[in-house]
Amino acid sequence: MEEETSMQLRVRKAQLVIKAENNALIREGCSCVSYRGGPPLRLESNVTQPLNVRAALKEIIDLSGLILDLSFASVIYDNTELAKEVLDLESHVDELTNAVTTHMSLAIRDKDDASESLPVFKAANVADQISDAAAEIAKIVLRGMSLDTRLRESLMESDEIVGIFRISRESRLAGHSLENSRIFVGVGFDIIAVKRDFQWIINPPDEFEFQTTDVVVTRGSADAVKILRAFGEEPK
Amino acid sequence: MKRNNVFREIGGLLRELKDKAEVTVYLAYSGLLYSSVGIASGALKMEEQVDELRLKLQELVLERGEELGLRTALAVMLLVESLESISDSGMKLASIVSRELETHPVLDLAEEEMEEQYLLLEVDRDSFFLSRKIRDLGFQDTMGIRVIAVKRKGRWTFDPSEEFRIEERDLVLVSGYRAGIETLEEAEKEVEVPEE
Repeated sequence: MEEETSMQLRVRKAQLVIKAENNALIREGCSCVSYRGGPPLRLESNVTQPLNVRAALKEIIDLSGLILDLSFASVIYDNTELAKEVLDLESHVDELTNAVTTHMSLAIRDKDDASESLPVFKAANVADQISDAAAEIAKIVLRGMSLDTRLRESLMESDEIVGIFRISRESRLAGHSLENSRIFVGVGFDIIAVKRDFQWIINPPDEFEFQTTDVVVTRGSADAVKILRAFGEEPK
Repeated sequence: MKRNNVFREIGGLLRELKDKAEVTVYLAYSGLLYSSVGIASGALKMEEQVDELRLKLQELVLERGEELGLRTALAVMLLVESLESISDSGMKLASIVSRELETHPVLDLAEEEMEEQYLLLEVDRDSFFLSRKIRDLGFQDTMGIRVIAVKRKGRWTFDPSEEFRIEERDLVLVSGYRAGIETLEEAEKEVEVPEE
């Protein structure tokens, strides 16, 4: 899986792509944010471009929740690919956290700045720690330590569940956007990832259209997931 | 006497543990967003419950390890430890929330389109919540929303039970998927600051 392409698919309004390369951070296509009305943040030497810290922090927090769900799904369904995806995403969150920390640190000029910045550091760190914990969960699968089938079944049946299914040809979901699907299924679910042509698309946007053979990972109430699965798997 | 299905029991406890760990983090984040010590203190209460669940699970795994098999037993222990560390992180975040804390502009995430959103509402006479039990809201099923705390007469109840009935003038803190929260936002009375 090409790391950069899957990230680009995932990035929505913030348009933030961070790629760590030779310890330099390269930012593509995002607007810079000025801290307290001052000049945009700049890093020394190899690093040239400012970071949209707000977008990065939002991404870190969003992703951490997503990663946790995916890691649980990987254990419940004993799915190695999902588990590997979790590890990839976790290292992305790590990079983002480092970037945020670096940029914020450089902007601190006095004690007031420091105490005001503390919550941002903490919020980023918590999300980072959640991702780390999720990675540990995913490693359970990667080490081949699968849970007994009966336990996995019991976990599949809970109130809020994660479901995985494939969109079949002629199903009602094929060709419809995520947004449209909410019209007939309701809003009690969330699509957390879709696998299409060997690539994972994490957290697809509302405009995303389902296609035949897509593998959909969804989280929601048992009812909503059941309905969504019915629309996705059964022919019209 | 037939022993209860250990897999069902562990499955249920694991699910509960994950829920509580998540709520701990949600309370910490929303405490931060609203600069509310009251809300953030809920993270501490949740963390205590997470600890109890962890202990229960550990005991269960040890007692009935043979039925589970070594692999499963070990995997469950690892799951429990990871979930506990998540709630621990949430608690640490909550500990830095204070009323004087000025929200850093970067943290003004309430305005951003986060996937998991928070909303503080006041229950007035037109409210959908009025006189309903948590279980009757059916929120989780239809809207992907969860009531994470309710403030009544100055006191917070965190992660209220299904039987909890919401009354007029209650402050309700919800978290959930963006689509559901946006729907609620339009219908209900939003509160900016929970008075401490």
